[in-house]
Amino acid sequence: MTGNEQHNTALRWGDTVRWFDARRRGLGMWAFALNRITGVLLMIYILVHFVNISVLYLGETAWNQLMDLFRRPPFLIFDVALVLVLLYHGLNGIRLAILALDIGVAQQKRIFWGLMAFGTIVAVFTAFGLFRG
Amino acid sequence: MAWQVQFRVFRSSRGEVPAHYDPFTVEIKPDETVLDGIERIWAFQDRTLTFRHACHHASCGSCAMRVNGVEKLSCVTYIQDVTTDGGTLVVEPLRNFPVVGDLVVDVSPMFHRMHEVGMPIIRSAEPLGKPESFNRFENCIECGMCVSACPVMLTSDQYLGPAALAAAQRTIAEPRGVDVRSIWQLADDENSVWRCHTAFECGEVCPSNVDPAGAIMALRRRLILERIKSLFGRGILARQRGG
Repeated sequence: MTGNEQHNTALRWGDTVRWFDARRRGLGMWAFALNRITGVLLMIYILVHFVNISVLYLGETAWNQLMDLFRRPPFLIFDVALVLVLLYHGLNGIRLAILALDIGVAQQKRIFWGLMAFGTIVAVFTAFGLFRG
Repeated sequence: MAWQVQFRVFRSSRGEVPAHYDPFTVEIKPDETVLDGIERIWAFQDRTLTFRHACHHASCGSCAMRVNGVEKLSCVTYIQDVTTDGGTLVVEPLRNFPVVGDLVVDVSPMFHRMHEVGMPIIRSAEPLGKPESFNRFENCIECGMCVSACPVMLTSDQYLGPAALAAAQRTIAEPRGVDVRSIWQLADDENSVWRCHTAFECGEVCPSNVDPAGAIMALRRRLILERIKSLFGRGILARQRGG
């Protein structure tokens, strides 16, 4: 049981995986775990995005072919998922910034659900816009 | 009518690796507590089981442990709230403390940190007014459950932790003659107020409504204001830099 033992190092990277175990925990812990998951997903997306835009080096035809591919429904679903991840990470970040100023700490759960409701509305409109073309 | 509940109890002597879980079947009424079950295991099944308890009414904090993965005071955790007839209860020691044996942990690291921040356990007259103003740090029973629940403490030995930071906030808010300069310095550190990731688990598990996360956010706000003041050569942080 590594978590119960004394360790000499300042940071126990091996125990980082336990950040994501929010079973039976409160809303704040779920928000914390999801924030980390979405953060990693956004980092992966940025790397993939760099690879995508590097197709520009292959010329206009290659770029247009790639864009045609990305306009297909399976990729649009990916776009909607990306918007959801972005909205969650961004809106939860705003929540954390507000709380760090000691504003609304007692209402942190309401703030969370309020921002998530706003994010859901934005995501629905974005999805509608993306699929309508 | 008694239920039959299987307790899966964490067993470990100091230094024993890997630890293991022992199963014990216990006849217990649903309105009895988890501590009642553990005492019954010790009395009738295994006298080597080590655990800690004292008051049996949520005043001392010594019976704090994890029940099905969540920090609880076992003396006031009713069986019917955490399992069912024929169900299982996983009982483990608090996290983020060295295990002394079985369910007993060494909470001295938390007390050392609380000592550093003035350990404000002296109760003055309670304030009158809104009910939330009664959620003061003096209500802390030093059970260590907030330290166990904190996800940041899972990965950092250096983090001051929710109990000590709540104590720091109380001392700064109400110094009662204590020199708070060193406490400001302790609070304004990368392993202190700024390390908290706002998961609010400390407040979720606290049996005394101390709200350590709220205290940390209050400290953050004061530190942010002090940092802004220090840009203009004013405030506590600027005075500290100036010696």
